Amino acid sequence: MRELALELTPTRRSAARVWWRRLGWACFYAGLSLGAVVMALPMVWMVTTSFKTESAVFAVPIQWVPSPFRPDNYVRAWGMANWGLYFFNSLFVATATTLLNVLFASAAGFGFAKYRFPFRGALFVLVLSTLMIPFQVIMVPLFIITRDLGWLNTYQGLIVPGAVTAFGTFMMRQFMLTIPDELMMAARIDGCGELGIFWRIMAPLARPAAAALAIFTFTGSWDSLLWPLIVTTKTGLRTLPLGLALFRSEYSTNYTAMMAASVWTTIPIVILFVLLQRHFVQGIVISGLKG
Amino acid sequence: MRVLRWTSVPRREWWGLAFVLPALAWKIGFNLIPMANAAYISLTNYDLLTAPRFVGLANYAGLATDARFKQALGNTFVYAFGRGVPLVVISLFVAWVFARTFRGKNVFRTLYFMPVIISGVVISIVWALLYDPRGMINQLLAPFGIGPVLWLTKSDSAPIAIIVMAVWQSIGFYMIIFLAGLEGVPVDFYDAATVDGANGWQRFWHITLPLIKPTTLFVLVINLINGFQAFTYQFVMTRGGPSDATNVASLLIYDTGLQYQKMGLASAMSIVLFAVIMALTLFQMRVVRADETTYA
Repeated sequence: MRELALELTPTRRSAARVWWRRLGWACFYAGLSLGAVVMALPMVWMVTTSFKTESAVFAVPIQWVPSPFRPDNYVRAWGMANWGLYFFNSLFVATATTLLNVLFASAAGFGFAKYRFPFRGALFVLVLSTLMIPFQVIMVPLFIITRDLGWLNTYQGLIVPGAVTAFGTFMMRQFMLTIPDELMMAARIDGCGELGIFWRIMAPLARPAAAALAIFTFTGSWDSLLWPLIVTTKTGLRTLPLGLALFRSEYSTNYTAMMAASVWTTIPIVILFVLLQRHFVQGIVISGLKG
Repeated sequence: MRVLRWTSVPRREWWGLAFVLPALAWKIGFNLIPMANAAYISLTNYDLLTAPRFVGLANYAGLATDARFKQALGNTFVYAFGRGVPLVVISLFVAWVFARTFRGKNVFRTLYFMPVIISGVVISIVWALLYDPRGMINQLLAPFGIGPVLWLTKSDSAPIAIIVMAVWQSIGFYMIIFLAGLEGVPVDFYDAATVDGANGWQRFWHITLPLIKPTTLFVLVINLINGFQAFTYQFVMTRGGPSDATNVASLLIYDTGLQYQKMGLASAMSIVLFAVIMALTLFQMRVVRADETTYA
């Protein structure tokens, strides 16, 4: 076992103390591993079960290696609902929502951070105040507004109402405040317009914050259940989480198909996470501080 | 030319308003107006088909004696605190464990974080099977002489089952926030305490905990607010059942407004929920203000 990193290096140490140390580390890793098993087991079970036969799902003892091995569960589950369309819907809605939020939250963050126009403070407080309105509180009137706009069962109904967030505006403003004004001044002297400053100077510099915001918005939209549930009644507009939730109520005992569908709903987010782990964590730290 | 620029300054500053305008319009149209509407609709009877009819505070008076609403509100409190308190304790402990250097740290941290990124619907579906009377959890408990427990179909165990799952999913999320907080604790403090002969537990209790108390309070409040907005787990796993034991406020609002078209009553429920969350938010702002050094 490796030596402890934090520990001071004493000049002399008895053999007994070394053994106690090692025992301590053994316990440390045992506890850590136990926790890791608890965290991972449900997901491992999901994946293995997606390859089982229906009768092996609740077999005693638990089958960790499915036998017989049934990859064709995926083919069967894929044929049971319009998953390709749900995938497209989720991808389209999440991407559009993300683009809108990053674009308009950045613009607003830029405006609030770098210009002095009348009522700037009051308007900023107005935007921030919406952070205190939980979605559940306004979902009924929001549904009515969306209906009055004729947006029920449309992509714009799924995308537009929740697209631009106060949190994103706040986050981008905080980041833009750290970018020196001198860059804007220099650009103006070079004949750059205000839109050009935003697009060619600020936007590239704000990329780290924009990336964190983008991932955050995308995963939030990808997971969203309640709003798609409210504004869509047509099968063709179901997003993946909604499709999956309704698939479960429709085929409540088709466990292996349900697990296969759960696996492919999860895969895109896992890929995103593996590629962009650093930004994920950054986004959480910032969101944790959003207030 | 250069001198003339100064006269054009105010005009240029209006660009700021132009940049802000779309986001502002969005927030007014899709947040503030709906909020005002919710308040207004809560004073009416409205079924989407006929025009709203003003009824004053009748909806609120009705809620005061509505057993179902009171139960939903009670369930929401139980869920928010039952999930929130263990979540703070466990994620703080896990963060404390991860705030040191050891071999394999990144792999372990990723494993603990993994449930956070998975969709709530997927988690609910998988855990509903784990909680099945024949499922993995009962199989693991069987050697201890427990069960089989009907986790999701008995009204005393269903709320607990959902809380356990909710805690499991969010440990990694709050762990990350706590880790950021722990990074702010100077290493010198630990070194000094170690020289003084303090053991790990004493260091945690007397140094770490007091120093990250603001973060702890902060995390507690934001996760309570999240808890009050619970919907997905309860909708997917139990649909509020058995016999309303997991019927939380958001689910009842959804059913009342969007299933039974009682928009006025649903809006009144929303406003009550808003008042509860608002009280927590104001409390949170006081906590944060007391801690400006950490979050400045």
